[in-house]
Amino acid sequence: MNQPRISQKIVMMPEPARRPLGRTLALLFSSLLLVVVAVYSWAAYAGMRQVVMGSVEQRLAGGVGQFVTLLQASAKSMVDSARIAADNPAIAAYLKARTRTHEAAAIAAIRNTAPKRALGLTSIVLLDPAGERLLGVAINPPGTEGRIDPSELAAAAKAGSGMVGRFHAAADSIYYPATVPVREQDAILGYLVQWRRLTSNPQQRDVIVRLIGDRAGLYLGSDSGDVWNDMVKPVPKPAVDIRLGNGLLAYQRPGVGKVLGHARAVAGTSWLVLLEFPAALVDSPVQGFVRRLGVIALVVLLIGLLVTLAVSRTITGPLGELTEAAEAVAAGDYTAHLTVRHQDEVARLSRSFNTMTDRVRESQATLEERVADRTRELQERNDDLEAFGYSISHDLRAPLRAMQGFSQIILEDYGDKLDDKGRQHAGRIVAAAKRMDELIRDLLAYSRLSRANLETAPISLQNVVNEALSQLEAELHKTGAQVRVTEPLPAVRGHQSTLSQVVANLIGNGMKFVAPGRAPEVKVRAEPRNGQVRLWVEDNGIGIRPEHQQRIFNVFERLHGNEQYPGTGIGLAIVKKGMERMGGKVGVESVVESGSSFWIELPRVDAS
Amino acid sequence: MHAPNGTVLLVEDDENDRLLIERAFDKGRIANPIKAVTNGEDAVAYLAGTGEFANREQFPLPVLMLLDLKLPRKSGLEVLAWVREQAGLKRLPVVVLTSSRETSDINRAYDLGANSYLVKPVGFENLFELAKSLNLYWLMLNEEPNLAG
Repeated sequence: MNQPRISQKIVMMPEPARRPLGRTLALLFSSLLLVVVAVYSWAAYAGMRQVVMGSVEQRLAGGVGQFVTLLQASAKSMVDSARIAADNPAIAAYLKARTRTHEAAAIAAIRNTAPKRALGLTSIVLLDPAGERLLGVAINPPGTEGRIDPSELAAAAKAGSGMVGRFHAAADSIYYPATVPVREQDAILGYLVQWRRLTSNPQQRDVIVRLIGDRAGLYLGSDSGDVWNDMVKPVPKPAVDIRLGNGLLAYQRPGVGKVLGHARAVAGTSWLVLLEFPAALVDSPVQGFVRRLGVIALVVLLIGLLVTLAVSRTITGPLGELTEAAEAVAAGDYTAHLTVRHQDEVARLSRSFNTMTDRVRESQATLEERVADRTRELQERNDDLEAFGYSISHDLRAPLRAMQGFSQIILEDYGDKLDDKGRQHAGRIVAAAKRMDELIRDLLAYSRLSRANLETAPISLQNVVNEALSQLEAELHKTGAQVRVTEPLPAVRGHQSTLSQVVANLIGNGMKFVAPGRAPEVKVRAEPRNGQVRLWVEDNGIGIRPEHQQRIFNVFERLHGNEQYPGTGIGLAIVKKGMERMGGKVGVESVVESGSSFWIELPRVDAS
Repeated sequence: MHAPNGTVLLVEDDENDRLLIERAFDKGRIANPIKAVTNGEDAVAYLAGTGEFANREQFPLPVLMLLDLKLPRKSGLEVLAWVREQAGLKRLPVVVLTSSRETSDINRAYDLGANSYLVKPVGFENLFELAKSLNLYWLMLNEEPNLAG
């Protein structure tokens, strides 16, 4: 006995990548980590750089400031010493009179007042208010006397007691003037200039420089931006306009590379002091810092990735198991179970899943049991019906035969002894028996249709119609009916004997239900209708009213008495049931007193 | 070799049917005598020549058996099966004459070796025609077998 399984065949979709969730989580977390690390590194780098630069600037500024102070003091003393010489009245007298006598007196005065151990003093010069050289006294040759710019003279005059002027380069030495105005009351008589050579021991300078820092550079320049020296010899001017910058300047010094410098003007002079650092001293620790940061970031990132992967596995692992179990259940395997670990949400899910699967399995088993029971019941009922039909076949018909037979005998043997009425009664018994036999026959046919497994196969409608017509041969002769079949008729999918019965019933009806005295005409034709074949059986009979057109297909349903038209009321029920069992359809179109057109539909078979 | 006087054994439990068949044979002026038994056991006993049927002169072996299927004691199919197993009887022409038109009955009867299967008609005229056909075919045209050899 077949127990049908109630599992459905579910079409499995192609499987997506196994663990995108885990990878997504890991990637997400790593990106986040990367962003955080990058931001922090950048902030740290920027901050550190700022601090370093700040400290460098501070040191440079400090150094420069100190040196500037020194220079200012030195400048002041130079100016003071020049002042002493300038204050000599002989100077003033000469500047006013400019005679030979005054000149000699002035020269003598200058010689006398020249400082004994002057720092690099090379000569002393007197200028007129316009800056023209009037006389010069060499003190320590060699020296140079450059031209002093009127702006410097003006500055010196403005400064009150005097000013140290810009550098002048000559041969390999640097010279500078200490300019002092000679006044009488408010008028400028002229200027006294002490020319000095810039002397300084390299060691002295280095000591100062080293105080600032290793590899620092110290330079002096004129505030016109040219004539730079390193306190020993002239140097090319730096590659940046000092006058433009405040604070930290960055530029290139040939032979050293990138340098950072700080400059300041020296008050009381036309000098600029520049203190510089090779930038590498700052850059390399910063770069080292960045490199270290990078390494740390990488390590952090790696650790983060590994941790994420590990952690995400605790989520995607159980999820993957759950998915596999769910897929197994979907495919029909209800024994799939999950091992419950830990105590988290995933555990709850797993437990619920297991319970659910168990329930499904139980209910499926129950259902299958019920289906098996039901099938058994149906089978039993079917068997009962079969026995019933069998019983009808044999036992019901036997008394019929007797009734009919002996009535006939009475008519034959004793008919002459009966009057008309008696003969009529006997005749009615015979007719009734015959009718009952027909009823039983039709009922049997109907019940057999309901029970049988109709196996459909391609059959020829032509054969079916021919078979039906041969079944109706006697009726055809008796009624003088004309049946016209439009050939050829196509092949359909159906059951031969059932279809013959159906067509015979339809044609038979067409021949039977005509107006009295009229010759029945039945037309049979086939019509293709979207992959189906519709067979029409059209008559010229009495027609069927619309309200009756559905009733007539019911069992035992009749529209007329037996005196009008004989029949069992099962013919059309057999037609309908037969068509249903073959997977076809039946219907009727009719006009009262004009005729009826019955149709049946079956799937078409493409005849080869 | 045909036997215009061979006995026809009618195995039929229904009295009405039996009367009607006998009447039909009479009407058709069929000469062959009919011997009737009313149940399966008697049918076997008759053919075997046992019990009350021991007298072969009174109860000769038939040349044709008309066998109903629905019988008391032993069913028609059982009788048929038995006959086909008896050495001196298995060639006996058996025509099943019954009410049932069920395919299963028909097939089973042929399986067990029935020579023909006829359905009892309702309507005496039809029964009369049937009897005439039976007579013509089985008793006059058909060549009978030798049961014994």
